[in-house]
Amino acid sequence: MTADMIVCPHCGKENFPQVTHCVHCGEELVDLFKIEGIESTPPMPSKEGSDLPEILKSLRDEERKAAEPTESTPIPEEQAESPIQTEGEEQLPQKEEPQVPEWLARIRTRAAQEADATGDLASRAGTMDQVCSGEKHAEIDKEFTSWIERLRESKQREILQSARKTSEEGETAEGVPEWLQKIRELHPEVEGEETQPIESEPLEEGSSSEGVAAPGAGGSEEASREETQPVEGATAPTPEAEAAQPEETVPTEPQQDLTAEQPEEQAEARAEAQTKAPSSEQEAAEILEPIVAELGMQPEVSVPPEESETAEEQRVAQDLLLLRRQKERAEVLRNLIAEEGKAFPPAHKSKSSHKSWYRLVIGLLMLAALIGTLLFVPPPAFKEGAVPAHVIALQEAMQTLGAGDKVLVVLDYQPATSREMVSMAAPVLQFIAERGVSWQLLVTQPSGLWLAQELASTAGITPIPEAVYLPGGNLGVFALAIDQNQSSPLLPSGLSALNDYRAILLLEDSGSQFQVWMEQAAPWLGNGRFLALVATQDAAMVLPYYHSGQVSGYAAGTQEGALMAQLLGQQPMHLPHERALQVGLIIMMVILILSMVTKAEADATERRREEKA
Amino acid sequence: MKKAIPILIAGLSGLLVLAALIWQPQLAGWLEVVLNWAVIIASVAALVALATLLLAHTRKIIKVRHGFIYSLILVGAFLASFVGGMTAGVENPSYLRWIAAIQQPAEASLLGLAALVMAAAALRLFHQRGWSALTVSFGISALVFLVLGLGWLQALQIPQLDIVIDYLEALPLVGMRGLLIGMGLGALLLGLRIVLGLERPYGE
Repeated sequence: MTADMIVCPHCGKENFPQVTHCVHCGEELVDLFKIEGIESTPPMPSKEGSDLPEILKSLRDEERKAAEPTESTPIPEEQAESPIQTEGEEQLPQKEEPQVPEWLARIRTRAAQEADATGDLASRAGTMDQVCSGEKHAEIDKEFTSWIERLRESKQREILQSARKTSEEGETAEGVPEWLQKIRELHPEVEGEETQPIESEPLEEGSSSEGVAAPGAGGSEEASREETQPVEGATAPTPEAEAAQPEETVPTEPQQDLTAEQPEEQAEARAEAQTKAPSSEQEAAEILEPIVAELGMQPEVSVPPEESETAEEQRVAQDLLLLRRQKERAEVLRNLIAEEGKAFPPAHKSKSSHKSWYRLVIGLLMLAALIGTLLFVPPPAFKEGAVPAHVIALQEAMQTLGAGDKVLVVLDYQPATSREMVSMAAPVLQFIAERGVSWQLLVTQPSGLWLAQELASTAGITPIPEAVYLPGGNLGVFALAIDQNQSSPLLPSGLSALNDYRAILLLEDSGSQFQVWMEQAAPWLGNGRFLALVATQDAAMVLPYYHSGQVSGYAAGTQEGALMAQLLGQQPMHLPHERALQVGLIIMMVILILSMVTKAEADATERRREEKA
Repeated sequence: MKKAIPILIAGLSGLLVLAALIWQPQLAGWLEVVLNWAVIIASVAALVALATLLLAHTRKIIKVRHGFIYSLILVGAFLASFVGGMTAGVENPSYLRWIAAIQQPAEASLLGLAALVMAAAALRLFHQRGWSALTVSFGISALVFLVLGLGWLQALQIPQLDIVIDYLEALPLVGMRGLLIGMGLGALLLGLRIVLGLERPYGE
């Protein structure tokens, strides 16, 4: 992070790179907006004839020289204007400088910094400028001058014979003129070196400024900044191009990766650069057109007049592009803030219709089996077996009850399990009624009011005792347990203190509710007072309390309820759904086995397929 | 101060319950008072929750939002039960029979639906999870206890088999006992944290 900070020359404190004024002293920081790497990059050793700007400069010199002695040679007007245009393009950045407002210059500078954050492009541009201003320019000029003289002489001879023919078949499939290919063949090193900076950046119209202005830039830092600005900006894609191609695809490979050791990659990159944007070779073609015309060749590649306008528009578009990027970032941030705290939408999973068939099959199978069992299968005969200890303990506790004893029967079960609970509780209530025990019904849920009626009517007890509703849930149970004096106005009337009851019989189908009674009420009442009739699934929950002595005895499930009824001398109630329960269990077993078998079969099929493959 | 008052009330209430458990005759009256307050507050909270539920569903019906038909059923059922109970009395046999005729099949259907869902899950278990220690152990244990639940093996009355069956049937009891011990320890620690003000389940 600190590496990106810029230091204010006035106060010496760090600022973010995008600020235009120091946040500490308020001084302007415009002078600090330099393209990274423009100065720090050491000058590369220049090779003879290794840079495109050098070649172009030499060509222009030759052009001027050739223009003087051949003034009598008729030159077409268009071709004669092209050098002027080239000069105009060459000086374009320098002329633009006073016209461009300061804010626009800042934006362009920032665009250059953003587009080339690593400073790679700028360093190459700076290196190119430094190479151009090297000491070996004179030698290169001489060699190139002699080479172009030889070329001119040979071409004059050839063109005089077949000027027209050459012009027709001059352009290759890659869009490179034949004369330029021949130049490449004559000077392959030049080509390899000169394409380096172009290959690494997808230059567009802005690249022409680089190619033209670089020789004239010299070592001036300001001038180089101005000249490289369009080049940097050219790397930024246009809105249309950005939409079609993400920014990450813009090749920004380091320079060392593009050495002559990788000719194939260079060729590919060159072809790509040529197809994407007008390269510096094409810009060179513009400059070379008058010379080629002078040599007698027909210029085939010409820059349309609209392109210069397009280049200017492109520069403006770069500024707009920067603003658009900022706008996009702001939009993204706004969306992130808006989405903050919202739940992620669930991942969309396409439902396949073929997977839902088995649900229907299972449902129909279970339904048919249950209906058939309920309708056609007689209830199973009761089988006597070994009576569990906790059932015997419950029977013994019930046998101790006699006339005059008070028993509180707590109905704490849901309507869904009422069948099971009634089948267990009815024989016990019959036994209590026969013994002449005074008993009271207490319900802790509103539905218990009618469940109590159902239970009493099933047990054949008349008159049906009135059930008392205890409000407050767990707190109500606690309050009832500690209310020894019956002084609480919130507790229901007609209910004695819990200590007055000889036994409290819990009819429970919920382990958690059973826990409430054991943990909120039992500590205040002492051991040996609670009895329980619970659903089958709560047997495991009750057993520890039985072992600890908090429950004197219990029976869980219809089987133990039937055993309990027999022990009390009552007729056990047979549930008509007992057989249905067994059928349901068998169906579940079949489904589990079916799942294992089908999975094994699928695995075997997969293995066979792999073996065949 | 805003945070201290709830912590103080929670801590004092917890300490009072603990103290009343030890000195029952002396503190039982105070504990009853505190419990009455708690019951009243809980009842008021239940009323507020009921009002909020009704308002939310009424709003949904008025604005005809997606799924408003369920809200309509809820509000309609509430109004019918409320009006019936207020006019006929909550202990009226006809009213109770009417409520039972709706509630009992509905809850029984829910249990049946749960059985169907479990059956479908069992069928998909191995296809989706593959063969692993978890799925294989689950499948085998489910099969074993389903067979035991049928009661056929117990009816054979083979002494050696009964020993095995007793051992297998004790496994859930052992697990449940461990679960209860864990719950007890957790409740103890949570109670201590609430009394000491380290845990604030009632909010900030």
